[in-house]
Amino acid sequence: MDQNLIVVNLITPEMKYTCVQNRTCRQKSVNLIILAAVALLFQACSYSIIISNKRGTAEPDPANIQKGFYINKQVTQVDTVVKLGVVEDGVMYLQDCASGGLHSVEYKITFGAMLRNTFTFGKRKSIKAKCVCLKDSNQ
Amino acid sequence: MASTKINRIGSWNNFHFNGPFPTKILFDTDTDRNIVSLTDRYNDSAKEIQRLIQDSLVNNERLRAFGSAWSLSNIAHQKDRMLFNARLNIKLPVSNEQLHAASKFKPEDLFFIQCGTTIKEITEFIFRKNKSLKATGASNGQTIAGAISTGVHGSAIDVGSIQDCVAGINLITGPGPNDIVYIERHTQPAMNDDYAKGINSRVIRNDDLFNAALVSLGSFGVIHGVLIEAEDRYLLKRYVKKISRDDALEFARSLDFKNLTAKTEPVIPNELEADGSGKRPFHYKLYINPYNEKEKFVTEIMYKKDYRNGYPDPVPSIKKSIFKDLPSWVAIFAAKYKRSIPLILNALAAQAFPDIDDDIEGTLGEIFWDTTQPGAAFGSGFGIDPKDSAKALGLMINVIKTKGPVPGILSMRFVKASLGTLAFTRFPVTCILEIDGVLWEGNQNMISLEDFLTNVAETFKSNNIKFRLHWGKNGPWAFPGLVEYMYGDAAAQWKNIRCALLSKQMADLFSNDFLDTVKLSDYREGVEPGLIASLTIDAGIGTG
Repeated sequence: MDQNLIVVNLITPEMKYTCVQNRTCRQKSVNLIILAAVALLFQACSYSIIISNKRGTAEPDPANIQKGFYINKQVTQVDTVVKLGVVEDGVMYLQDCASGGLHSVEYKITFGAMLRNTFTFGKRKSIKAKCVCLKDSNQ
Repeated sequence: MASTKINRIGSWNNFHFNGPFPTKILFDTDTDRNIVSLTDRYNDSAKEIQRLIQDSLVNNERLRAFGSAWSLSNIAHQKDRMLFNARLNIKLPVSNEQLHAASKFKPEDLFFIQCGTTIKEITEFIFRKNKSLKATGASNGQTIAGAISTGVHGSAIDVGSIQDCVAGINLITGPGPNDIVYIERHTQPAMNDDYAKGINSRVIRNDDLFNAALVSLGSFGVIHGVLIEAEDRYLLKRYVKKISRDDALEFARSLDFKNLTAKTEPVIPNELEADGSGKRPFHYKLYINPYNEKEKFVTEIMYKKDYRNGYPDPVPSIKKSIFKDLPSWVAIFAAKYKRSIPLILNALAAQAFPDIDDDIEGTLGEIFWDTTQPGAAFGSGFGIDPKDSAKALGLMINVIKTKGPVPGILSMRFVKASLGTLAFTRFPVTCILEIDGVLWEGNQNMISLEDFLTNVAETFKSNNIKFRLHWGKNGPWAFPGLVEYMYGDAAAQWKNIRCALLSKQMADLFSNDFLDTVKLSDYREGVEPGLIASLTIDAGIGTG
C-alpha cells in the first residue's frame, strides 16, 4: 500500500503536464506502477498467524499500549536468522515463561524468509515471532 | 519482599484508548513468590502497598490503584501516581474453621481473591473446584477490584452485577498498622475474627459501610482482596433470535417472559415450563441498530442448565459472534463525512451483531470469553427503569438523529438490583440502555461524544426518565448536579461514610480528577464515627 502512495506523490502536477508530451516519463510511470504491483505481490506473500491458548491469561505489561491483540500484554519479539550446521535439520526457539505456559505465539512468514530458506537449501532460516507467556498464577 | 518497578511514564492510556492521560509515575508491583505461605505472601504485598502509600504521602502526591484499565471513563486514572496491581493475583479457598459462627455461607462457595486477579483467572480457578461465578460482564478481562469498584454487570436478570457476589472486602486505607480493615455486612457475616487477624486486619461488620465500599470508585483506599461467593458450576444455553420491536420492548418493559419462546423467530421449542409457558431466561439482551427503525431486534437469550461434560466447545463460535467492535476506519470516515454513518452502520450491523440461530451451550466463562481491542472505542450505559425502556430508546434514537449521527450501536441489558450505595443498578431490575462504537473526534461538522452524551442526559432529565450512569464508561460526567440527580441522599451517605473511614489526608490521596469532576471527593469534617462502627446481627450494638 505504501508503494502505491509513493507513486501518486512522485507525480506532481508539473510532471503530469510534462508527461503528456514525454514518452520517457510515461514509461517511468509504467515502471513505477509495475514496481508497486510487484511490491504489493511480495507484501501479499507475507502473513502471520496467531496460535493462542484458549485458557489462561496473558502475562501483563501495563506499559505496552499498542492497539490490537497485544495491548497490555508482555511480548517477547524474536527476529533473527539461524544458521544450521551440516547435520542439523531444524530450529527450536526456547521461550522461558516463569508461569510454565505459553499464552500465544504469532509466527510471521515473509517472502524474503522463504527465498533465504530456498536458496540456502534450508540451512539459513529466518525467525520472526512474537511470544506471550501465561500470567503467573501465584499459587 | 514484594517488589515494585517504578516507571516514569509521562502519559498513560486505558484499554479502550480514551486517553492519553498525563501521568507521572506507574508503580508495577509484584508479589514475592519465594514466600511459600500464600497468606504470608498476601500480607507481604499489603506491606508493599502501604510503603507506596507512605511514599506518596511524603511526596504529597495522590495514588490510585488500577488493574486491567478497562474503564472507558477516566475513573482509573491518577495524574500523580498509579499502582498497577494485576500481578497481585493470589487466590485462596476457605475452610469451615475460618467461618464466622453466624455465617450462613457454605465454605466451599467462598474464595478470597487478591485485587489484581482477572475475572477469567477467577473463573478458571474456581471451575477446577466445580464452581462458577454467579455473573460476569460481557467479557472476562477486568480485575476483580476494578470490576466491583465500577459496577461491571452482565445481563443476568435475577442475579445482579459482579459486586453482588462479594461477601467481604479487605481495604488498605493508609500506611499505619491500624489502616488495614476487613469489612463485611453485619447482617451477613462470613469470616471469623481470627481470619481477619491472619490478614493483619481489624474487622468492621457494618452493612452501611460495606454497601458504600462495594462500589467505591477506587476511593475508599486500595482494595487489596475480596471474599466472593460462587455457586455450583452450570451451563448457559444461548439462543440468538429475531423478535419484533414491539414484542421485544414489551418483554423489556414487563420482564414477563412467559410468551418469549413463542415470539422469537424461529420459535424456541425447548425452553418451556410444564404448563407450556416459556421459562424465565437467565439473560436477555437486545441489539439495536439506531439507523434502521423497521428491522426486528436481534435478541440474545440464555437459559441456565445443569452442568454436564461432553457438550460441544462453544468458544470457536463465541469468538466469531462476540458483539464486535466496529472497524476504527469508521471513526475517521465518519468525522469527515457524517452523513455516511447510517449507511456504514446499516452495512456493518450484521457483522457487529451475533449470528441469528447460532445456538450454543457453555459455561459462564466460555459464553463471556475474551475480547481484544482493535482501536479506540467509546461506550456509555444509562441505567433506567425497565418501564421507561421503550420511551428512553425512542428519545436516544431521536437525539442520534437530530444531533448526530454518531458511529455507535445500541443495546439493552437487564440486571437485578445491587445493594451497593453507589451501584448504578438500583431499580429492582435495571435496564441498561447502552451505546457502543468507535471513538471519534468532534469537529465543526460533527458533535463531540461529550456533547452527545450531555444531550442524551438532558433529554432524559427533561422527559422525567430517571437514570444512573455506568461509572466505568463514557458519560457526561461534568453535567451539573449529576450525582445528586442520580443518587439523591445516597450520595451524601456515601461521602459521610468515606469521611468516617478515611482521614482528610488519605481521602485526598485516594481521590482523582474523575472524583473531583463528579464532586464526590469533597471532605466532610466531623462526621459521626459511629457510622462505621462494627455491629452485631441481633442488637446492632457496636463491638469495636
